Amino acid sequence: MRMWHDQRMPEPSRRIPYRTWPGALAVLLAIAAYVGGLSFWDNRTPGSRPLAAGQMVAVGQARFVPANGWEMDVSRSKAGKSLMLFKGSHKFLVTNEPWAGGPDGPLGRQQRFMERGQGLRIDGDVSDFVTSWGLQGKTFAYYGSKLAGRFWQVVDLQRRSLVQIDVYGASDGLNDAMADARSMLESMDLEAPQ
Amino acid sequence: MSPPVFEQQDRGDWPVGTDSFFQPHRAAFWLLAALIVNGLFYTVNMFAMGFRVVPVTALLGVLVWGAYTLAFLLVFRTLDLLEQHPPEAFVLAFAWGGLGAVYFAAPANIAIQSLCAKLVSPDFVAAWGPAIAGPITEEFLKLAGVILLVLVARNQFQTALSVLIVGAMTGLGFQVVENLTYTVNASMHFPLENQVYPVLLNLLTRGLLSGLWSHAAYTTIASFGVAWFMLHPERSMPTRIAAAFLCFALAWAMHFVWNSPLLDDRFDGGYDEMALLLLVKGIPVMAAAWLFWREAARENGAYLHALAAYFVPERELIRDDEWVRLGAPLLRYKVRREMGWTFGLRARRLKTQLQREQLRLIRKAMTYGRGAQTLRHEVAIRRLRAELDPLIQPQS
Repeated sequence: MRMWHDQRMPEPSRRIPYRTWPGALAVLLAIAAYVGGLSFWDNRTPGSRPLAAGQMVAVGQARFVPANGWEMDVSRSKAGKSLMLFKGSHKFLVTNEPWAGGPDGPLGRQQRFMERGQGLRIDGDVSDFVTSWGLQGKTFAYYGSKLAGRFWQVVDLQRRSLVQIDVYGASDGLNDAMADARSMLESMDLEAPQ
Repeated sequence: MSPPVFEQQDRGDWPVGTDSFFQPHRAAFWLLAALIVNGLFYTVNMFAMGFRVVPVTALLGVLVWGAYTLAFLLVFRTLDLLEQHPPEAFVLAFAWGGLGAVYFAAPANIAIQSLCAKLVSPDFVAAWGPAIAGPITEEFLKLAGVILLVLVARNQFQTALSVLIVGAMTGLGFQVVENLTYTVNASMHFPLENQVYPVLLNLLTRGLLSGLWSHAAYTTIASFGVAWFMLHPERSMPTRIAAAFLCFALAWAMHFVWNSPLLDDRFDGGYDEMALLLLVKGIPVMAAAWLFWREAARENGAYLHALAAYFVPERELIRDDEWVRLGAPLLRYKVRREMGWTFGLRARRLKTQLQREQLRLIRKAMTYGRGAQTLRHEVAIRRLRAELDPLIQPQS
């Protein structure tokens, strides 16, 4: 039998007991400090930005005049894509996305998201709407165990653009918030400079 | 305070062998398991919503990204990297990346981007948010899992390669679950009602054009630092920490550049320009990861040579040419591929099995010594060689 010549014996691994709790605790504390610390800091940092009265704001192609008393939530707004306004517990969210599909837009997908994803219920039927500026689209109301709201959708086939407006919040004071939302929608057009 | 009893005992008194990755007596094991299970609930819940809203995308996404994972595993297996550990190590690493790390990454990334929006502006977040939030959060969390796995079974990690493959698997887990999440989210905001296109588009951009220089590559680089820290106890603690930190910083920097808009304005929005941009950003990452893999493979080769020389001296078990190629997975692959071309698929399959049995024999011999425990592999090698040799004999 041919053999390799012997060399120095490599050190075999041995099953030496050792403690892992200090290392495991350090990892856990590092994760908790990092994630918890960031979340704590974020929660303690105010994210509201007052809006100038009567001045138009824009989200992509959509622009509108915010109603009095509504402020911008900067942490939930994405430049050029979405704008979140809030007043008390009520939110007014405008999103602008590209759309290359049909005139009905992604209404079915939105309803599936609300009903199957968020556990909300659609209240009544989808109806058409037209604003005094000629903006037209579809709208429906919805409700859940803790909130209610209304959703508007405008599809601009020429610009291949989709604008969705969602106002929601606690039932308490919702009528006033809805009135403000309608006034903001009435002021809206899709002529924002790009 | 007196040191624990087991630290006072002589090293040679403890049994030879390696620990399994199932360690119910170790805190690190339970922490790892608990955080993975926690992440599992979060991820299942998230995908359950995806299945309800965009069911075609979610189902097709699971299939596509599942196949994508298998493709990576096949490459790892082809390079014999999966021989480094028992399967449970890779399952835990993948699960940590895809479940444990993803669970914590989501709120941390949201908090950082939200803070950037509040303290700077939403415009700043739109451009730089992913570069600021993603790399630091994700590299840290993925590496935390690698460290926990090392803590669970420290003596399983004898070479840098054994740490790197766990890092790569952790990164792969993160990458796949992140890609699946992006696919489902993309479908919810896709400019068409079609639920198949978002899957194909994400497979092309995130899978094929970005997949090789993504999380698996970053975590490989960061893991090399952990390996170096662990395998060089002769160096001073500041040096070891600096090495680990440097590797982490390199992984972070590459991830940062990838997520940043730094080169975006040099390329227009066309598909060909976008593909070019991905290549320009990705190739340096791939090259760096390759260098780390090569260094680890070289070290692993030297380690295997030393083990084989001592524990498996019989040349009928490991022949000269096979011994030379022990530390060169690409050369081993080349040999069996050429064998397949010349002598057929059966010869290739037998050669593959033979090479793997040799690796297993060496590792088991190193862990427990030669004896009854290695007999199975010795018999397998002899049997495979007996089957293979007639197939590759020159025809007279």
